[in-house]
Amino acid sequence: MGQTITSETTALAARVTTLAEAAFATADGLRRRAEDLFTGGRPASADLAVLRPWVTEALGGLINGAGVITVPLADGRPGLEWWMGSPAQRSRLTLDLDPASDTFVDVGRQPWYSVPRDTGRRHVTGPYVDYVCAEQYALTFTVPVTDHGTFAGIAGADVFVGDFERALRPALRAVGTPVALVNTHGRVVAGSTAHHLAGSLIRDAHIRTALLTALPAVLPGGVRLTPCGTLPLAVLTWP
Amino acid sequence: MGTSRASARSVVFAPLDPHSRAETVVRRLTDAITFGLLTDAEQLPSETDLAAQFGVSRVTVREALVALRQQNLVETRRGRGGGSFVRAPTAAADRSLRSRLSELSLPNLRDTADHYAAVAGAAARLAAQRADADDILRIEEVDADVAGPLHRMERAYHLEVAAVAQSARLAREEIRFAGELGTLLWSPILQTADSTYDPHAEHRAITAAIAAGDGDLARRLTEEHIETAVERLVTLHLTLVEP
Ligand SMILES: [Zn+2]
Repeated sequence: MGQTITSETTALAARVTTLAEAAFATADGLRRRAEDLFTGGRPASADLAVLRPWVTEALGGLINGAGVITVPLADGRPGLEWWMGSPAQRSRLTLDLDPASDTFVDVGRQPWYSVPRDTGRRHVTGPYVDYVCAEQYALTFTVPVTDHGTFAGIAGADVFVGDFERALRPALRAVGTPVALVNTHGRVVAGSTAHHLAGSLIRDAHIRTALLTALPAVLPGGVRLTPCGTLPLAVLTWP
Repeated sequence: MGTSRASARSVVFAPLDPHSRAETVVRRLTDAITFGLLTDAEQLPSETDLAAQFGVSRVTVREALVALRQQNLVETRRGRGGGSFVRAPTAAADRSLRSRLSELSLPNLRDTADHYAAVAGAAARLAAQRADADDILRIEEVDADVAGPLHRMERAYHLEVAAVAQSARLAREEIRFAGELGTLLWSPILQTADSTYDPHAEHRAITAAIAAGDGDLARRLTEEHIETAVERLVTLHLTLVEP
């Protein structure tokens, strides 16, 4: 039986990895288009409009938001080409970038922007309440955009947690025992029991420590930890 | 009524904390004018006196007066008998706080405030269940921002609490209430009987309850925090609205 649990759990982790890598591939495609804009010198914020066909084409399936947000460009304004919704019903994101305004959005404080900026690496933000864009419970997959090696912004894709859970449901059910997909902070993305609903936090100290190491492990109480590739996500199973 | 108007007026000119800037002077005077605490054609104190009363530099006062002139809320006349005079907004200024406040009926205000207390209280309770150490830092960071007007900090604080609660619906409600009620509820000229009133201190107590995982306490403190703010608003409403 232990063998069965392991293989179903591995399949779930593989399914998570496939879905997440697809979102990252979308973000990475937009990153390349954005970086092309920088080859002939620093563009102006309005120049990002040429990305629009690729951004809107990225919507659909699990992707409910996608685009590029940059540092201030040649005209002193940040570039913003981000769209939300489905191919049939989509809208362009506008952000209030006036620091004196009540609804000002400090992009630099948002983890989906600051982590790729500060680490130079891709990042999965969430699950979190995305009150900046879609006002939805989401996962955001972002990669840094660089201008000749210097950070110039991010490209990214949003997936609603509800859609992600639905896409994982068959693989979750197949595990058979209580199971949860969590991020490295112990925040549940999707689970198979009422105790592990999206958004709840795993507080068990052993599990929390193990999540930070991101290595396969069997923990006290028979809890098994299976990492999802190199993503900051892991599958937990309880006996 | 005369007394409460006079004491409300003294709050208008109370010293500002050192982080405040011209923007706070503008907001306080704008609110005072739109609430009718400063009346049409009334002469404002001199720049020097305003600077002393607000505890800011004359440059800051001048900057604020420029902004108020641009909004047509103040008119400056030169020469003998000159100075800055209040220009009360007319019917055209239906966006003003005063007209918004008098349009509110007390039963509607009570109902809106009850709904808001339920939303903000539930968000605080869930945040206590779901917050990790990083979340607490984010909430504290928002409350530590004292540079802008109070209603902006209030919006950001309760929105962050709803986000930490992991609830997109409660966050959307927070955004809606901030637009509907925020500038009224957290207007700096509203008063309380208690001179030690400090929304930041109330937030710190709420944040501590969230950090301690005490959802019931976090909810009760949040409800009381909203109730106190609503009481101030109702008191001013009763002061301003003629029978
Ligand atoms: Zn508050």
